[in-house]
Amino acid sequence: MAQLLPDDVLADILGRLPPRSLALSRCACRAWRNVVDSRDMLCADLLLPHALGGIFYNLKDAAPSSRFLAHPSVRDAIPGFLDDYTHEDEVHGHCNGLLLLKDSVANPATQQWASLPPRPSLYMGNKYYATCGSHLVYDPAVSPHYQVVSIPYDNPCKSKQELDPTREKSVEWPPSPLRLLVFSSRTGQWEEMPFLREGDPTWAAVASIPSGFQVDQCYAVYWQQQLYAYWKADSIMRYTRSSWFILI
Amino acid sequence: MEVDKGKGEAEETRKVAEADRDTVTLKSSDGKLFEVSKEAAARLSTVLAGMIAGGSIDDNGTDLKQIGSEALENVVDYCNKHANSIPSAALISSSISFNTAPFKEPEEWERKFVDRLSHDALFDLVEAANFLGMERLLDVTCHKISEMMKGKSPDQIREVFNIKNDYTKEELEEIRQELAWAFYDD
Repeated sequence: MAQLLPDDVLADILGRLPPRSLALSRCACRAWRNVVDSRDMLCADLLLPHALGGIFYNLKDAAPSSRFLAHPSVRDAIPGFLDDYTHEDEVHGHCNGLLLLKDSVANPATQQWASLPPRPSLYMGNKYYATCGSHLVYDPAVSPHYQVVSIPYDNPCKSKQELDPTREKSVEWPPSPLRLLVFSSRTGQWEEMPFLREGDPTWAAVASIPSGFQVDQCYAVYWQQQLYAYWKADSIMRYTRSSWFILI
Repeated sequence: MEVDKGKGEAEETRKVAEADRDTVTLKSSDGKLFEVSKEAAARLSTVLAGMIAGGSIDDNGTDLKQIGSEALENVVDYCNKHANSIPSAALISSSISFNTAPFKEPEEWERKFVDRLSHDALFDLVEAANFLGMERLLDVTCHKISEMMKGKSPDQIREVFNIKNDYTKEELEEIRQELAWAFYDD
């Protein structure tokens, strides 16, 4: 009988459920799952606590390090966390409650952490590419597993000798497919994965990088199941599961 | 409805006569007639309000072919009980879209009203409320059904709501993994 209800009415009913009940109801049958998924009812906003426990911030002085700013009661609840997990290390990124450290991923709330295996080198067309910055992708509404996406940058740090100095400046960049290194906590391994380009390729005809622009810090944000990465001086790339797209 | 009807004198007369009445007669799919206060019907149901304003109410019983007699009886019962208690359905809930409309908890009598219904009657009523554009009644019935789902496992939900499991074993396992957090016992 419940299967005969109009979708809007079913959505009205399911939308009143707390996240856990909603997730379990989604398993009842296909029609219910479609209603939940097509309306994005199980979004991360619902699943994550809305209260702010504390803030990590990075100091950019002679010895870069991360500090944790929080009420003493919160600090007491995670004793030794910073000492254990971030000693001589910075918080490189974060996503929905998980922290990305230099070689590990940590959950301050549960005090669990996992080491990342060494990241392999990335070659495309027999050339080595520096990877600048890794980004954490974790969405409890989608999966209990997280990914770390390592994005190659065309403009290398000049000090890195191993980069090919003869690489042509006028090639289309990034190529399609673009290969990225992706670590998945499901497999526990780094894998090279191809990302296809969406949209018009003409934007990238020339390497229009301002000379002297150094990528020493890269920023990315995960939002609505897509990763948005600040890329070079003037563009933002949007990554989905298998493709990328230049926004600006 | 009745768009092709001419605007003859007879109809004008009929309309005037109808306007004088303070009840409307509704006819269920199985031909039973129910009287309901015109004021309450217009206030609680956007569809009936439209029919009354548009003159498409039939004195001999306005056909509501989608609604069975048991559900229509409950609708009329609800309208009558509601008649003197709450100001306007439109004021209480402005939208039926999920998680946007502010939901006002059911009143004691509304809770009792839906609690006494069988599952079948409740589902028929929620459909009738949806069909007639009765936002408050829809709110109250949807709330009741969601209360029945809370804290239940997928198996229990299927049992209570008589739902056929149309997933394959593999799909079910995949869904469990996707939302593994929901299956952990606290």
